[in-house]
Amino acid sequence: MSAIKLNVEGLNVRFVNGQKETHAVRDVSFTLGREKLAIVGESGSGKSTVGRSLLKLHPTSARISAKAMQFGDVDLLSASEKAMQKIRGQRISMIMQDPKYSLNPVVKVGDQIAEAYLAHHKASRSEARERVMQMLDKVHIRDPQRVYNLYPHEVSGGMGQRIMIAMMVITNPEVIIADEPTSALDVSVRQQVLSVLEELVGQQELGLIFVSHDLNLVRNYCDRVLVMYAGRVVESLAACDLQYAEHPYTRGLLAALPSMDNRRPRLPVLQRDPQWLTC
Amino acid sequence: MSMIQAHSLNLSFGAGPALNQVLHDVNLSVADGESFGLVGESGSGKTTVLRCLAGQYRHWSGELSIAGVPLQQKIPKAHFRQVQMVFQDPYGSLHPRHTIDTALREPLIIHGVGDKDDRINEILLKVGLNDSFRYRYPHQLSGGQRQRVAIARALILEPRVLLLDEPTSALDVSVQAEILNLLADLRQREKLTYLMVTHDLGVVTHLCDRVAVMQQGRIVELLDSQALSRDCAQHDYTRMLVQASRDFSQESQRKIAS
Repeated sequence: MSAIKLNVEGLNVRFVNGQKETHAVRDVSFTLGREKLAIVGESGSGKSTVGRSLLKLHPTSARISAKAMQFGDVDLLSASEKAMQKIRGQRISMIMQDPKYSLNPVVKVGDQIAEAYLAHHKASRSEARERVMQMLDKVHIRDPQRVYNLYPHEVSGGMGQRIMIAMMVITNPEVIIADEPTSALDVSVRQQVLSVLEELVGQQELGLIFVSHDLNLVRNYCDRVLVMYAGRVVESLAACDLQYAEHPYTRGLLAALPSMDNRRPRLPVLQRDPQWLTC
Repeated sequence: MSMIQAHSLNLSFGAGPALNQVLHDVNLSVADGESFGLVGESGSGKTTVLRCLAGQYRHWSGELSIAGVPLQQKIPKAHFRQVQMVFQDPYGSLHPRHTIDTALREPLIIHGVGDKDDRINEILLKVGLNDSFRYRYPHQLSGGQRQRVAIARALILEPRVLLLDEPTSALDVSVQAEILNLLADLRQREKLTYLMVTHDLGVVTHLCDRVAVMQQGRIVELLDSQALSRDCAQHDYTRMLVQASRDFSQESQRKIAS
């Protein structure tokens, strides 16, 4: 692992709603270099919340506190809204789950990508257009000229996700947060999207935070895995060692996966231990 | 005797130059008590086959029959006591302003079945819930509990065939295991026949005995799930699917080896 891009220590996120306080993320620490770091866990474990708090995308009801949240030379914790605006999209970008909902339905996809570029670079429209074409080519879209003028409803899910990736990478970010980028896609299309993402991470020396609930995918795609349960990181290990995971939660999740090669009459069901909440 | 039979099922949408044929001569035969899987990518027509059987599309041509009774374009009420469907997304398939009790009562009212209260309590127990759930609303339930309610609603008319449209793809791994176990138990206890649509080959080999692979509205291969997991698939497309769900694992094995 090379230079550390992101260092998070003791991150806590609480959502305050009147008298009620929900402690969504508890004491999460990790570092990110030029690597693919996966955050896995079930729904409600706080994995997306961690991703979003790095960009301060939470509503005002969220209280974020941490011992450290250092991104390069910027302290994310004390960064002003203006400083954050410079970071969002330009130095850290985020790929959302479903391209159908995250693209603007009434704007041509090419113009949407150009908008991302123009928001952070001083450039003429024709320059931006040129960059978009290059970018579309980079994410393996065969006919960029045609695709540039399409509207989101005219592209398939896989292509939509590649367009999202193009939009996020065009600003040359240092870190990409991918929030379940492939869970809305088919197995065959998923492969394409993942390999495009992998290529870009290799070429541009990005750090990738990959939020997912798919253990099989993460095991083979990422370098390191953080396993979250109820807002805590219960285990952090190299992805290739996932089958040797020690925490009962991780082991339970792995065992609960139906597998093609190992047919069992019943799948073992996760037995939750209240102790996991405290230790 | 085969429980579900489809013979040269064709279906198209639109007319004239915009005619789009989505099913091409689909032939299927599912035995009584069998669990049969349909796999393929989005747009391959797998859900459409289910919808034809469920009576949601009526302009198909060909022959369809359930338990030996041919399906007409106009479907008698009795058909729906035999065939019920469970949908993909339990967040979308339950009415947000109806209590679980209302949701479960509705099919009973439509079909004029008596003993409503007893039946509702009984079915909730069968799917691993209890009567404390009766007066709750869907938003008060977790995803897995909602899918249990959706299964209960399908089973309350005591059908013989359950059409499952990606019943676990919206759920977490840990909850998916619970629902798959529940489905396996119910099939055994109630002697049900399953026709399940999914794109997860792990799920399909776990729950189903035989699998049909669909591509662009055609069934390209039919094989039993053991053959699928032993890599005995003949058709290129099936092999590609198997490859795609295994690919990364092979890559990682290479990584570890090197």
